[in-house]
Amino acid sequence: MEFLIQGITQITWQQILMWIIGGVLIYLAIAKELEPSLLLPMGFGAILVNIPMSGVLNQTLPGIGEVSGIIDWLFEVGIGASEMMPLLLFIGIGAMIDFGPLLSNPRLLLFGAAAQFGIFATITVATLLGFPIEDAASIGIIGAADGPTSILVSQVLKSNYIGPIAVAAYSYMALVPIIQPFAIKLVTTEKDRKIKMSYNPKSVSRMTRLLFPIVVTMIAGLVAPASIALVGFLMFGNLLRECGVLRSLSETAQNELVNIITLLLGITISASMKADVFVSLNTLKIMGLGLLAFVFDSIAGVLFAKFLNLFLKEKINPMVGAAGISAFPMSSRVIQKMGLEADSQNHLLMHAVGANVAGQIASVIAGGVIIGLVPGLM
Amino acid sequence: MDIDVLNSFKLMGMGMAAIFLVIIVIYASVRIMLKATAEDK
Repeated sequence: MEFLIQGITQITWQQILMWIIGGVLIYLAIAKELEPSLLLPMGFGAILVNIPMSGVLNQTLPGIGEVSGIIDWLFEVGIGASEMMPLLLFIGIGAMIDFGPLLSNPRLLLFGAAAQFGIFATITVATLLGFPIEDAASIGIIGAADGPTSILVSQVLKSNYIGPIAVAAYSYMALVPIIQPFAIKLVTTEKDRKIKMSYNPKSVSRMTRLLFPIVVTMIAGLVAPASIALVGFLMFGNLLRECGVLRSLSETAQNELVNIITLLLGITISASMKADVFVSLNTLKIMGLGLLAFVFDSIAGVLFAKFLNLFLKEKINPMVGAAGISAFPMSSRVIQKMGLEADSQNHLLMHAVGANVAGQIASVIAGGVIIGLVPGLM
Repeated sequence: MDIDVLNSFKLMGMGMAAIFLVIIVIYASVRIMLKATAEDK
């Protein structure tokens, strides 16, 4: 009867800690509604993979040999072999995004680029803390404010920290309404936040909407070929949306595809939340660095807008620059709210949405650029 | 200074330059598309 208590006798304190972490993630998902679609599966998965001799993981059984576990298998097939899950998710994200506000004011694209600075600043801080460049780059990409990009980059660079990186990326995305106001207030005055911007959108032709995903894919592919999987799948999803003849495919991509992949992605990521890897001082460092990345991103976006204002007749509200991170649509809502707090007539939503979708494009380009550049520096 | 720290500065320079280059080319292309297709509104 010894086998009945075999599991209990093998419990380690690290595994108990992971159960608590799993419980906290489930609590945050249900009670606080923080990214519940990802944090709940990840939390439950963290418990599943940290039960001694868990059958969801690959294991060697006496007399039988190697037995595959479902979560290890899902990770190997869905993320490890081809990064399929995060990439397929991009089709759905692309189908959800309306690039109209950006196309009607294309200079907002620049904010998307500027707000990626946090990624690189965080990489430098991570290397100063002793992380090797491939892990530092994977940690920095938390600043892309885009969960699938973070997972994909850390997987391609074979980082040892994919679990903590995914947890940090999704947690901080949910915390954008707290992080961004703090960061923005550090570098803006009340007067800055009161700057009003008129909204006179240029009309965007159907042809432009159709050409945009194709042109972006071609440009990103030719200049930064490593970004083509990320950008290409995002833009493929957007072309499904804009073509007008594949409505049911577009709706499937936005709903069923995203739901299925999200459901599996969360629990699959938990394969990288095994206690022996996850419970370490480096996990705490990664959580701190992830927060820093979001703060740096927001500050860089604001400062870039202030820099542009030196040359512009019609001033930009610097807070719009902070919406250049890709946490869509939370970031644009934060900017709208802060604009209204500064002045009840200050409506910045459409400008912020434009910068926010620009951030979505720039963050996947940043992911591709890092995948392309880092191997040459290792 | 540690080689990884130096490489991170290199990555920052090259990375931001590459992102801005791609974004500026996209920006120019969008302006051209908007102009060229203005009559299709």
